[in-house]
Amino acid sequence: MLRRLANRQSSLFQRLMFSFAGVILGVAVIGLVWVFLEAKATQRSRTFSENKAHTANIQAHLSDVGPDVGRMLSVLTEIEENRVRMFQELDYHSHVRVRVWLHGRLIYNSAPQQPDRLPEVATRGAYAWVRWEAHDKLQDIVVERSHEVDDEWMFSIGGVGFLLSSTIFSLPLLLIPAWLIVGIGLRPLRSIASNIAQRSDGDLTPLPDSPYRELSPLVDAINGLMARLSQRIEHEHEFLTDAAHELKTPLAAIQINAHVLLSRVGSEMAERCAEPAAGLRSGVARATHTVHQLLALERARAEPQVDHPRPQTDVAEFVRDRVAAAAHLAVQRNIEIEFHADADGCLPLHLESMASAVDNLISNAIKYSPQDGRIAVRLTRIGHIYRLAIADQGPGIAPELRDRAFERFYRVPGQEQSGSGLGLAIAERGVARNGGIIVLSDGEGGRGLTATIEFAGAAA
Amino acid sequence: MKILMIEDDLAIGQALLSVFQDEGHTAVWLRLAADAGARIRSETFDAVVLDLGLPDGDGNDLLRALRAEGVRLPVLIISARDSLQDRLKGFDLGADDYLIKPFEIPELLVRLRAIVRRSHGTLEENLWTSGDIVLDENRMAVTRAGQPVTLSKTEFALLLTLMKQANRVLTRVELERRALPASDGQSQTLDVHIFNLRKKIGEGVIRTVRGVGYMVQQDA
Repeated sequence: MLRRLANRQSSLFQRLMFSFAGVILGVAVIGLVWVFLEAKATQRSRTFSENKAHTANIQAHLSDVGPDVGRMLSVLTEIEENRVRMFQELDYHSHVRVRVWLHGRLIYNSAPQQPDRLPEVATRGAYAWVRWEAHDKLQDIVVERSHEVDDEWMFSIGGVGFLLSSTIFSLPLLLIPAWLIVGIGLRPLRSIASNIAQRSDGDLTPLPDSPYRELSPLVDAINGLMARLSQRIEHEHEFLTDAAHELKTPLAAIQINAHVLLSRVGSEMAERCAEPAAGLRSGVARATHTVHQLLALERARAEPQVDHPRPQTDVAEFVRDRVAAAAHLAVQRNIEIEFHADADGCLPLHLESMASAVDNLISNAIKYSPQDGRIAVRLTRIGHIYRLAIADQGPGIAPELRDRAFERFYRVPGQEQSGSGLGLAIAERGVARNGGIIVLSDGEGGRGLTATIEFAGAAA
Repeated sequence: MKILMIEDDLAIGQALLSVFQDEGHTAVWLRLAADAGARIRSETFDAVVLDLGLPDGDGNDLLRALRAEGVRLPVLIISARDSLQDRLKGFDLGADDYLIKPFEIPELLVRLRAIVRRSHGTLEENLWTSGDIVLDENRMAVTRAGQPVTLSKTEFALLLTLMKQANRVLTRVELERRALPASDGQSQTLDVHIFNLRKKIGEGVIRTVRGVGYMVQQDA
C-alpha cells in the first residue's frame, strides 16, 4: 500500500486543478462566513425592531383597558394566542416572553418557565434574547417583551446548503473551463514529449525552439544534453575508427614479413611450412577482413552532422552492378547467381552505405551456398516501396536466431565459415541509413535463407 | 626496375625493401616527404610507391607538387585510408593506382608492373588467355586450342572486353557501351552476338549471370 502510494506519480494537471478548486473553495468559505456574520447582525436588528413595535402595540391595547387587571389579562392572553397562532403558521420556533407590571407589581408572565434574567449573548445551548421595555407613566404600566434571536437555522444543513448552493451550482461552470484551459496550457509540453518519443535512437538533432518562454529552459537543457551526447558518441566513433586504422599498419607489416619469410625458405622447408603458412595467411586475412568490416560498420552509421549527397539512382541498375561485382566469387564456386529486376525507377540513395549493405548480403549468400547452389536476387516494387530479396540455398538461420544474427560479432552456432560476425550489422545500418529495414525469412521452397531489404529511398 | 619508396613506418619499409630486393628490383627508401622531391629530380626511377600519412606532410601534397612540376613518373599509393573519397582524391591528384593496407604482396608487384608498363606505352604482352582460347589484341587474332577462329569485328571487341577483365562480370550496359557503340539500345543485339561468339569459340568460355551480364573466367 505504502509502496503503491510512493510509486504513484503526481500529476501537474491534478496539481493545477486542485489549486484552482482550492481557491474556489477558499473564496466560498470566506463568502459564507461573511454572509453568516452579516445575517446574524441583520437578524438581531430585525428582531429588535419587531420587539419594539410589538411592545408598543401591547402598550396601546393595555392603555385602553387599564387599570382593570382582569381585562388587561384577557387582552394579553388574546395577544399571546394570536402570536402563537401566527408562529405556528409561519413555522417559527423562537420563543417570546411578555411580562407586564402594574404599579410595580408583576401581573402577567407569558413564559413563567423561563428564568428571570434572560441571556443577552448566545451561549452553548441557549440563544441570545433581545429585550424591550415600555413604560406608560399615566397608568404606571410597564410592558417588557423579550424575543429569542433564532440564528441556528444558519448552522443547519438546510441553512448552510442555502448559503453554499450558489457556489455549488457554479462549480461545474468554473471547473470545466479550467479543465479545458489547463489542458490547452499543457499542450506544448506534451508536444515536446511526443517529439522526443517519436525519434529514432540515432537522432540527436536539437529540438525546435519553443515559442513559450516557460518551456525554453527545458528545451535548452534537453538540447544541451543532446549536443553533449552526440559529441560523446562522435568521440567514440572516432576512437573506433582510429583504432581500426591503427591496426592496419601492423597487419600490413605482418603480411609483408610473412610473405618475405615464406618466399625465402627453401623448397624442402616450404613443404614443412605449408600448413603454418596457410594458417598465418588466413589469420592475417581474417584480421584484415574484420578491420575492414569494422570500418564499414562505422561508415554505414548515419552521421547527422554531415550531409552526404544522395544522388538519384536507378535502383535496378545499382543492384545489377552490385551483383556483377560479386558474381565472380559465385561463378568460381559454381554457384548460379541470377538477378530478376521486376521494378524500375530512381531513388535518392546514399550509395556507399547501400552498396555495403547489398554487398554484405550477397557475400553472405555466396559464402553459405552449397557447391552448385543457386542464389536468386529479386527486385520488386509495391507502390513506392522497393523490395530486394536475396535467397540462397545454404543452411539458413533458425527463426529464433534471426534477430540475434544482426548483433555485432554474433555468429550463428555450428557453422564452419569464417567471418567477422559484422556483415548483417553493417547491412542493417546501411539499409537504415536509406530509410529501410532487413527481414530474414526462409529461402525459396523453405530451404536456405532469404534476406529481404525493404526501402523507399533515403529520408531527406 | 628502380623503385622509390616513401614510407615512414619502419616495419613496413624494412619488409617492403626486402620484397623488392628479393624480386630483383633496386629500391630507395625515404621516410620523409621533404627528401623525395630532390631525389626524384636528381635520379631516374621507374616508379614511386607512396604512403600518404608521412611525419612531415601528406603524401597527397607531395603528389600534387610533383604533378604540378610535370613529373610523369608512375605513382602507386599505399595507404590505410580506405574510404571512397580518399581513393578518388588520390586518383584525381594523379596517382596511377591505389592500394589499401594491408595488401597482398603479389598484388602489389602486379600493379607496380602494370603502371610501369602503362607509362612506357609498350605494346608487349597484349595476349589474353582463357583456357585454350588465346586472343592477340595487336594482331586482332583469336585461336582456340591453336586453331585460328574467325570473328566479326563486334564479336572480337566483345571477347576482348570480356577477356581483358576476366573474372569480372560485365553488365549488359557495360558491354554495350564498350563493344557495341553503334548499338541502337536493343539488347537483343548483344544476345545475338554472344550466341554467335559462343558457337565459334565453344561453350563454357563465356559464362552467363542471368539478369546481370557475362563473364570470362581466366582459369576456365
